[in-house]
Amino acid sequence: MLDNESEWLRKAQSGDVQAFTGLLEAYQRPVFNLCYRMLGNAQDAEDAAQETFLRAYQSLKRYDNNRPFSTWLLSIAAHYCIDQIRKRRVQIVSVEDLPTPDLPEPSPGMESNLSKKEEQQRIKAVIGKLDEMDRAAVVMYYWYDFSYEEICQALSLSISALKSRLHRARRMMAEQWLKMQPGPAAQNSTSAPRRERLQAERMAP
Amino acid sequence: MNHKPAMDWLFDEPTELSQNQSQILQEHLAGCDSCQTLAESYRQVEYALHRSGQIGPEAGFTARWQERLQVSRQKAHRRQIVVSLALVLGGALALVGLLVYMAWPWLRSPNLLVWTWIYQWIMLLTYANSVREAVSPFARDVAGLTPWFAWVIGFGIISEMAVLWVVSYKLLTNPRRVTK
Repeated sequence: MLDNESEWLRKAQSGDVQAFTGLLEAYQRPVFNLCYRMLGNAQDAEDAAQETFLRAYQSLKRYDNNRPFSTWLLSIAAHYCIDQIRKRRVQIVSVEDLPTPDLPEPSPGMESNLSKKEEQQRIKAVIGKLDEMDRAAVVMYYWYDFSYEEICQALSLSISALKSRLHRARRMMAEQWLKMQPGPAAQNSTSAPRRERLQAERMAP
Repeated sequence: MNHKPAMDWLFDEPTELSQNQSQILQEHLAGCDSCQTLAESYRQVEYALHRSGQIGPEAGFTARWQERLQVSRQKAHRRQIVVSLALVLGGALALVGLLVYMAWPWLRSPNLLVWTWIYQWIMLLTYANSVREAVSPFARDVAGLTPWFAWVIGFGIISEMAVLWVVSYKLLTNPRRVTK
């Protein structure tokens, strides 16, 4: 929780737009990131993030102060994105079906940037293959380090359902990742203890 | 080779596996190339997910949101006006409909309505005339028997009562003047 969060919340609940703007400034990045990971493009993510804050502002009086604000806000964002994905499911084009842009010949300085960009594209593609609810669970679990309880609360799932969804999503992501590998899976040392990495990637609004 | 328990445990939370399960999983992975490849792929995905940071919106997000809030408020205001107008018009239409429904028997035959009105007025006038004829001889007798000074006293009392009523009304309704 932020230092001024409870004060901003109290003022915003009594209709102070400026106080809500403070919350918006603090949480715009995590909300946008969740929308971006869920929807896959910046334009839709911007629209979804804006709509999330609008809905949050309009229903702020119904917000339960005992619940963490971040969980509540990201829950609104996740449900909005899930609805959007369901609505446009028929129009959606698989990331794999999109034409791949020609990448320039790598120069020595560009190599790391290119591989990072490529990795981002792969992540996007791998997440894009998941069912919308699985995707929301994965994003909340890996990017925000939410506990099982928090994710369950945000997505209205039971613990067993969440574990089952995460299990299925992990397996699917691993299989998709493998399919996208140019050669056999690289045997590099990327397997640092998971919990340590999680601690380093705390949600930072 | 049976991959089932190993595949289940591979994608479970590592903290939820017992020591025995972890050992069986490691032994299976050491002897099974396909599971080993999938496990490595899973590690890479997890690493990539943790490595990729959060993406933020373009600058000016707050200003854009404030504009959106303004537009949303205007829309809500317009919606309120439309709903109010629809309610008023709907109510008025319902009222007119009800009146037409109630007056329908008369509207169907206006002649009957007109004749009914004429008949009512004639009846009223006839009744008033018969009352006048019944009361007038009695009134004439009373007027003849009353002495002239009784009339004067009666009118005087009525006039005084009227003046008293007007003055009382003025005193009660006029604001009092406050003196320091």
